Amino acid sequence: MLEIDRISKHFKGFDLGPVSLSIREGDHFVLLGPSGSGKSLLLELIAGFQEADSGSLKFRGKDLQFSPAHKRPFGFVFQKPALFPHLSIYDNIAYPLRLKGLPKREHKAIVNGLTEWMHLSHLTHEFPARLSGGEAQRVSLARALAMKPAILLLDEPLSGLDVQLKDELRKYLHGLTKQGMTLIHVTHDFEEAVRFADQAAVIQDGKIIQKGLPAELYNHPANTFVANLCGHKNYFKVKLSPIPDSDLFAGNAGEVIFRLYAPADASKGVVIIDEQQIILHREPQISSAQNCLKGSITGIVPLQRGVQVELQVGVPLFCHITNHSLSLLQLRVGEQIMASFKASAISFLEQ
Amino acid sequence: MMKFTQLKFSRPKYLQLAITLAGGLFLLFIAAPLARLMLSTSADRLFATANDPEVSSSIGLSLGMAAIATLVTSLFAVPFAWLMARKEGRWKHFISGLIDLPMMIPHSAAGIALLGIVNRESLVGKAASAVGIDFIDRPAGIALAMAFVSVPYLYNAAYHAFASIPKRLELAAANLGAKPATVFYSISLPLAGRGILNGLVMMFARGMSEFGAVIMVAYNPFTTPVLIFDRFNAFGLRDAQAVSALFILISLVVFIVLRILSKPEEDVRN
Repeated sequence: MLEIDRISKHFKGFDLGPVSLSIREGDHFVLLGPSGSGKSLLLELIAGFQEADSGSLKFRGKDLQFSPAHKRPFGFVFQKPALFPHLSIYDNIAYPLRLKGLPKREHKAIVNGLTEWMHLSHLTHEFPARLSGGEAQRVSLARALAMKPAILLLDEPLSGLDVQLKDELRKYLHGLTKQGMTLIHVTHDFEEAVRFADQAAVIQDGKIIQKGLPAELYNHPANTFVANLCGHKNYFKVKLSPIPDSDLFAGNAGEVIFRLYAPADASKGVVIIDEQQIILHREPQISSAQNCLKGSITGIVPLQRGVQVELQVGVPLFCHITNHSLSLLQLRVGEQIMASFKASAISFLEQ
Repeated sequence: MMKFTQLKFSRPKYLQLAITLAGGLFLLFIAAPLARLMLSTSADRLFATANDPEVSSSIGLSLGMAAIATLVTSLFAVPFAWLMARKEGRWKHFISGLIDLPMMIPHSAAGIALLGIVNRESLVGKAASAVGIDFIDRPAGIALAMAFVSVPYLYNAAYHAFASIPKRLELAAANLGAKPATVFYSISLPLAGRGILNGLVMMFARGMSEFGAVIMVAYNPFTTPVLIFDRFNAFGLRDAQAVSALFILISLVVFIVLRILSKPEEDVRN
């Protein structure tokens, strides 16, 4: 268990923390936040590259707060590969082994094992300048693994890579999680979090604002910032009023009124409507959907899976539907369409 | 409109001409005195000068002391440059300015300043005497004066070489288990090697040519720059010219050899 307790660090113009987190061993923990949120800084504090002003950092019950970077059992993979340009790939990977004073025979066995697993065997005699971005990042990962870290710290290792290389490196990270390696993975990309995380935390302006499973973050974002980070686009400020003879509330967003669940004493807040749960149809339908809005299509944008249909229903509303539905309904920009969704498809965040 | 187009096209021509002319004059300013000096001395005379024991021993002394000054000072200046390149703070500018100072002030003044510290009556002078080192009119004093005025060249080159190494490489090494000293010699020093070597060459070249500071601390034994001054005073321009030409020739050879050794290779840093 890695326990971070009220750790904080002050910079001119930026304050990190106090941050408290518990990370279980064997977990793939994703720290999610936009650039400048302090997520990389937190990772550097864990690695010992930065010294915290206050708080404590314990690993397996041992206080590491004052232990220097070279004594901490954490591997670090930087956003940009940090390979030593004057050493061959072999010597880069063997660098931590040499520091440990292992005999050369063992170096070879470990380096060969890692390079084979990561398909780097043909590159061991090359120098870093000759490698592509994806290869360099794989070598960085192999080198970090060579030191047999207790936890692997990943600082957006995929962000500089194109889609195909990302997939390739993801496979290795996934493999590591399966082998029981603890990973702390910093990213601004929610999809990465969904793909990987056993646990996730969102950091904003140096503070952790929500922790939980990625699905929890997506379904119940703590605020509009988390909602936005999770890829939600349908969030609106509303004033609430109870609907007589029902347990629902009417949320007035100006041009539109939504029907939703909310805490009994709530009066205003933000509603987030899950794009996936909006159903589009041409004719009025009798259904269990509490919300049915009519509007015109203002845009149709292909997604990695399916399409995003943008409607103007008084407010702009984004709906995700399948390609099949798109051709079945024969939707065109400018046409009128109806959008239905249940009261439970709306998350309410009180303000 | 017409005027504008004419102006647009004719201006660069004048500009180019003016720059070429200015550049030519600039090169002439550098090359002419040196060329005149070299041409004023015949090969025979150069050869005879080289065989003059006083001249050859002065050349040996200049090169030898400059080499010692460079190597000994580098043991202190290079690690310090690394430390400075990795620290932040306003005081850094102050320290950089301080280190540049010997380079900026008149070298005779630098020599006088040094003399104030190492003269036979001073604390340092007495302490050094006690362990058998004398600075005044001794080779040790020559090396000291050379080091004092030429070390900024080495320090600055080393500083910039270290500062240009991406910090994450050193952090990565520390993360992989390297102690700070190990990070220094296994990562920083090899990566800054070319820059440091350039600094050593600059310092050596500057040191062996030093006159002002050296003459204040040690008029004797003669280094070549002091000998040139002495010959000029005693025998006039022609004698001084011969020694000067010989020393310039030797400086040139030394400089070219060292430059080849420290020739920058393809930059392999990522």
